[in-house]
Amino acid sequence: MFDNLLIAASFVADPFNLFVIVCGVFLGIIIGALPGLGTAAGVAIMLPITLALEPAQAIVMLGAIYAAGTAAGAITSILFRIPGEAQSAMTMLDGFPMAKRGEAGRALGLAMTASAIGGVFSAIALMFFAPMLAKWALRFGQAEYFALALFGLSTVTSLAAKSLVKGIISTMIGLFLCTVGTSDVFGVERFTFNNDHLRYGISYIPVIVGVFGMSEFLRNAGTVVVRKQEVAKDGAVKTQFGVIKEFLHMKALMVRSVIIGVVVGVLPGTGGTTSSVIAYNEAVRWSKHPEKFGTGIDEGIAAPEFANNSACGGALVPTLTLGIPGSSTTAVIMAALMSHGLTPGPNLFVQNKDLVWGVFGGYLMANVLMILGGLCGIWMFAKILRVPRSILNWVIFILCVVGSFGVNSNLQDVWIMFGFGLLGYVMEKYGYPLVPLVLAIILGPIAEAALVKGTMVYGSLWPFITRPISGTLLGLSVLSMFFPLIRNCFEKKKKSKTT
Amino acid sequence: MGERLLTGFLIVFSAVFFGLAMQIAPPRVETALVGSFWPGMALTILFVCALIEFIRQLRQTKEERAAKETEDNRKKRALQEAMGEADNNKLLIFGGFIAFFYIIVVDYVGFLVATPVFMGIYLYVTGYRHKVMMIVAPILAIAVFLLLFVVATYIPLPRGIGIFKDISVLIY
Repeated sequence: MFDNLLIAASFVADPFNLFVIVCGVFLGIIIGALPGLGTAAGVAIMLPITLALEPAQAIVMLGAIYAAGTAAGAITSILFRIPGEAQSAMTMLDGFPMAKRGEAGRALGLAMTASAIGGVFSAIALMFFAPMLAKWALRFGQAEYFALALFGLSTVTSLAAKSLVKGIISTMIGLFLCTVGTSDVFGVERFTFNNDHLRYGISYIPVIVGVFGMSEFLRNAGTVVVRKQEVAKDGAVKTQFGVIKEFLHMKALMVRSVIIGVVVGVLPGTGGTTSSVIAYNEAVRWSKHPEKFGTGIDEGIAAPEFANNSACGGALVPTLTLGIPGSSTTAVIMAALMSHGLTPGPNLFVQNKDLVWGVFGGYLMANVLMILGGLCGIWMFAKILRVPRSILNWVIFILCVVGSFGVNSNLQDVWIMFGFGLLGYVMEKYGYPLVPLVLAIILGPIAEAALVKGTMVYGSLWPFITRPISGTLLGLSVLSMFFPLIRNCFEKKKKSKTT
Repeated sequence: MGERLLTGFLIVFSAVFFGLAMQIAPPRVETALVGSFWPGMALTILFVCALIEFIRQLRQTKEERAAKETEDNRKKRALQEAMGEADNNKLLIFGGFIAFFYIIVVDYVGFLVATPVFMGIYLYVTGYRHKVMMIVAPILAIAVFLLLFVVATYIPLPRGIGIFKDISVLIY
């Protein structure tokens, strides 16, 4: 353990690595502060740029964007009553009233510090739990990998959409698209139509950039600002350093919210939004003055911010150890790892120990730097929000074009990005979730390869069910898939009983 | 209407590609499963789910559809009201078209020329009228992009053809 911590420390001590982390934090705060541009879209747009970096630096940079972006969603929630991120919606409930009282600086300070504390604790949890889980997962065979991929897909499918059928449709489109190209397992071409480009399959990066980034450009293009938002009273937004001492009175709230964040974050398909809602509700439930929530109190800002940043570290645990992303942003980070020729999973901890511990160290450092960045530079980030929307939107588009062109230096990837951007826009407009689509494109090849290799090794499909871990995971997959239906049945029964 | 078109398209798409999946060549090594199994399975489930969704949409009465749309619109409008925003379909279509033409043009004239020109057009059409910024913003943007992609991260940019390629080569 001590050796591993030394690896992490030496990674962080490298000046260029530190520069990469600072850049990640800076970009993350900008991305998080911009309303409408989620961390998944932000990380997707930045993904191609990180291809020029070393794998560990690339992942740390994306991880820093993820953590800082999640935290910075609070800036617009507090100042303008617009959640920069869905997971910052709960922060708005107490953040905006506090800012309206003229205490915007205090609210921002509380939010950024709580986020950073949550992030630091989740990074520590990542350092302890990820290697343990990876060690356990080393025993996994093909059956377990197949079951695990299926479990990840089923939970995301059932939780991501209001309609289960739409979730399944989205997943199946992804599972089909990942079969385009020459199959590694069978050595045959599938849906290539004699096109040389398609023989190599559809690359992750243009798809992800298109689905998250290009669709964002289209959504913003079709939206006009008709009136300036209501702005909190505090004209000169300066974060107050003094708020740090307030956290000494919130120890129990902090521990509770961080645990909620990490645990919820680990579960695939849930993430920051769910954890912040649960943490806020728990804060109200345990409070001696629940009636004060919503009026602009410290606990109402701190609880969701502790939780949503803890969920970031939590979501990285299954991504790195099992190759199952816990959120849409970690799905993009996983694609980045694969673009660098690395396969997330337990073997990553054995074959690329330096990389893994470098990433852990870098992620921890990013959260520490976030406190400084957040406390010192909020006035600057608030100013970025005044840059005209059309300029920002054009920048998003150019980043999408250059990012997808840079992968193989050809325009076919740009057209793929454009096509998936349109698809993403249309799907989202009609309530089809995008996360299962992306996740299916990433997990589909893993699941198919494990299924085929497993049947070759075991001779039949039976061991997939009889092996204890894979059997349990398959059972959980079925259960999670039908969870919304079961829940609806119970709710209907409850309603009929009360009426 | 749009939603029905989308599900109708998915039904046709899954049926056509299922037919193509069945024509996939057998694997070179003997395996229990064949190359068409995975796409065939995905397309079958896609077909069934799209059909279920399509029937659900057809069975929805006009009143139910109107009520659902009103409910959805109400939620959307409330969110937009809070954010001080409104939908503009003309600008959405313009955004799609300008992106489409940019990708076509950038292949011929290169990144250096296409980006500031299209950016200027985009800003003008979306209602931006600050004259100085209309000139400064595209120049500044191209400088930042070149610095970020060419100098810092060595990401290649489209160079165009002919004279445009010569100009691009001079700079990156």
